[in-house]
Amino acid sequence: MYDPLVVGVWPACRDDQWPIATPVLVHGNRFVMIGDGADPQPIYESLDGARWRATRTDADWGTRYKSADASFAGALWRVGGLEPRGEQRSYFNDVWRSSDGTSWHRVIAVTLWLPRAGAHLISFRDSLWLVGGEPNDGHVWSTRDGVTWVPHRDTGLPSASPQAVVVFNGALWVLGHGAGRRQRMTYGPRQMAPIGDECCLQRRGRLGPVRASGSPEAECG
Amino acid sequence: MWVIAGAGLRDVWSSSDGRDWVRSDAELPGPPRTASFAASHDDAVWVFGGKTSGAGGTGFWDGIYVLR
Repeated sequence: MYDPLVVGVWPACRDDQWPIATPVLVHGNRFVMIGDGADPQPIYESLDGARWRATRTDADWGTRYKSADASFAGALWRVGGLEPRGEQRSYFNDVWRSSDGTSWHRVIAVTLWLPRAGAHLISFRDSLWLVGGEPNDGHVWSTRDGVTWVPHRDTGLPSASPQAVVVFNGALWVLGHGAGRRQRMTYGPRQMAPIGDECCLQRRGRLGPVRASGSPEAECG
Repeated sequence: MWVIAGAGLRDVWSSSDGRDWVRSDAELPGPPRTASFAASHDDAVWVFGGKTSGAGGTGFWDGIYVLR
């Protein structure tokens, strides 16, 4: 590892929407990104990360921003987010599911967790986990079906939304609270206490030179 | 586990235990940017897009990179 290699550019699709600010999911054998902020919203798919195809969906969640997306149990999931309405913002706590990315079904309109945007949604140990977001209730939530959500209280996590949640070595990791203080903390799923911060960061190792390839032609639907 | 770029940053870090982090000598190409998304797939790390900010205002970065 690891040479950062340029493999392509985002497709500038004909709807003039830049597909940005939503997670890129690995779903089966392909990358999937659900559009953010357009109505109706396209879904972008790619087999190689370079060539992208946009497909229009039937999702009627409106002009939704900062939802949390995940691939789980063979389906795509989208929860929460916000919709600007004049000077105000409406926050949501609904759950959407799609088996093909094109046809979407809202499995529940109002969940137990507080409406929020910018949360992290991730598949871990046969469940879908919701962490962070703004505003939030400080709990971590999990579900097996998208309808019934179980709160996990007393996690010890800060109320601020983290920068990343990942699965690694059979555990759920929450990273990067307190961006304003340039402080990085890492939490394991069980101890739920700081186990690392910037004082432990070490500079080692070397990487090879950066090289760039061409920019494959992007495809838009 | 990898941490790649962030606000004003293009650095690349990795850790096997969450406690000890190793900084790569290489940096992510392009300007410093937030709101990039990384995905692990096909034994590589993919980094998509991001949002830049500077004197000219906020912009979007359209590069896609793979680290393998």
